[in-house]
Amino acid sequence: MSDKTSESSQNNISRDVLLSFEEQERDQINELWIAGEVAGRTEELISQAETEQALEDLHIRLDFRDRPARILGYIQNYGRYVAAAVAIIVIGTAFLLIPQSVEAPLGEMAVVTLSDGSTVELNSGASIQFNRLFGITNRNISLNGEAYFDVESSDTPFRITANGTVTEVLGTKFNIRSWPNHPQNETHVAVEEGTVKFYPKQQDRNAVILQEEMESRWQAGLEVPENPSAAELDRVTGWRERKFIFYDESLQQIFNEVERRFNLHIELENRDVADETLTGYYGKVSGPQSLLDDICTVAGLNYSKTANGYRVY
Amino acid sequence: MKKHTEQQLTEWAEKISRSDQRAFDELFRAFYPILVRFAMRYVSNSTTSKDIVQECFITLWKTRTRIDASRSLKSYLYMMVRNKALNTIRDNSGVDIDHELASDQQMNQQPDEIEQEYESSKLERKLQLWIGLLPDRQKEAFRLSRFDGLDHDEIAEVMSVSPKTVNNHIVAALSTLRNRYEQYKNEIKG
Repeated sequence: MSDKTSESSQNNISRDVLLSFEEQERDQINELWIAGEVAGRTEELISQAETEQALEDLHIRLDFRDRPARILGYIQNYGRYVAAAVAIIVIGTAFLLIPQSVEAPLGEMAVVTLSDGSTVELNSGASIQFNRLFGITNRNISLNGEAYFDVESSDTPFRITANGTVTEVLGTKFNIRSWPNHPQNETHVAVEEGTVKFYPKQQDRNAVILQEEMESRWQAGLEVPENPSAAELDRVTGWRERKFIFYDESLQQIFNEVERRFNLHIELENRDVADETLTGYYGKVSGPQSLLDDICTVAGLNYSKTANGYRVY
Repeated sequence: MKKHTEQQLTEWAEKISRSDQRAFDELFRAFYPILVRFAMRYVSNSTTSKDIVQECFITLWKTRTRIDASRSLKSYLYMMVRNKALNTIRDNSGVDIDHELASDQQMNQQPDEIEQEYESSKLERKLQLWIGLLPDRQKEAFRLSRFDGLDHDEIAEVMSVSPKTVNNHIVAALSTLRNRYEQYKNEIKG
């Protein structure tokens, strides 16, 4: 690469470009250059939460947790046999590291039995990822969304990374809710049986320990997860029986859940009400319409049908 | 967008070539969002764009021992993403697209939509539209220069052309934009 000593003209127009224009044109060219910056800002940027999730997935694909120690010295000493063995190991490992992904489609739910015998129930639109070494050398999973875990007992810790948090257990039953589109990146954990360790990623000194019937949550910016408090498990895991249970939940979050569960699109026209909260219990829901009917009545809103869902105003 | 100094990038390149995972994470955090945005200019689909960028970082890590810290890591990343994006388009279309960009949304706009655009008088919005209407190579070079802050040498490497050609593309792009701007100003007056 050529010299970088000249001012690295990241925001200014390049001199070469400017000099290609007649002197009287240059002011206008500069003006367009400056206005062009604003035009570029309309290109959408990925959020920090999405970046972190992608990085977690990448870590799993590259198996960053337990990288083998340096093997170079051995290769020099034992020559080609070791090299051949290493090649086999490398190819084998690459195969083992291909990530496996399971997803519950929108509008549906899924139950997955993992190779260690643990089961995971995925709420609509939720997904998990793990590599082929799951159940052999590790029990690491990344979660996107909401799931109920029934983890088999084992000496290998079962770790779930979700939205910048880690939930670690040896064997127990619990629910994690961690949707990537939550405005504060909240991850909520509630334990039904056993004990769970819950902490922001790479900060296990800030862990909270959750016992049976306790819950905690973590949001981006918090150093330590919320102090554990008593959980109403029926409410938290109501989704498993296809109930809709909202407790002091924002309208935006409620509509997000309705969207995922029925695979439709809800346009919330009146953004002012998005943060208003609502509490409600719907044991048997015949369809999205009856649910919307009720929510809109309570919140003083109206709705109408659109091609792929509803418009709420 | 945060700017990353040459020094920081060289440091990352050196550390990553020595298998420093932390430096790799830092690089990922700094570049993932802008590279996904960059890939979207070609494939205009966010899932595919994310996959492309993810694959590039995997390739970078797998070939990390061969990273040359004296060369621009930034242009290397952009180049990988561009090549993968163009390959994806080629593989999916089944025809040789000869480095053609994915059809821009602006390109697909109907004439009356463009008319509407003229009605709303913000210069920035106009510019965005006009940039979308530039010839592909000019558009590519201009966006890399203006939106991604790459210098001409870096853009040359990303697009596999000479820095002189990059300069020509950008000058041509600005000339076109200027003409449209003049025309637009006359229309408003008239």
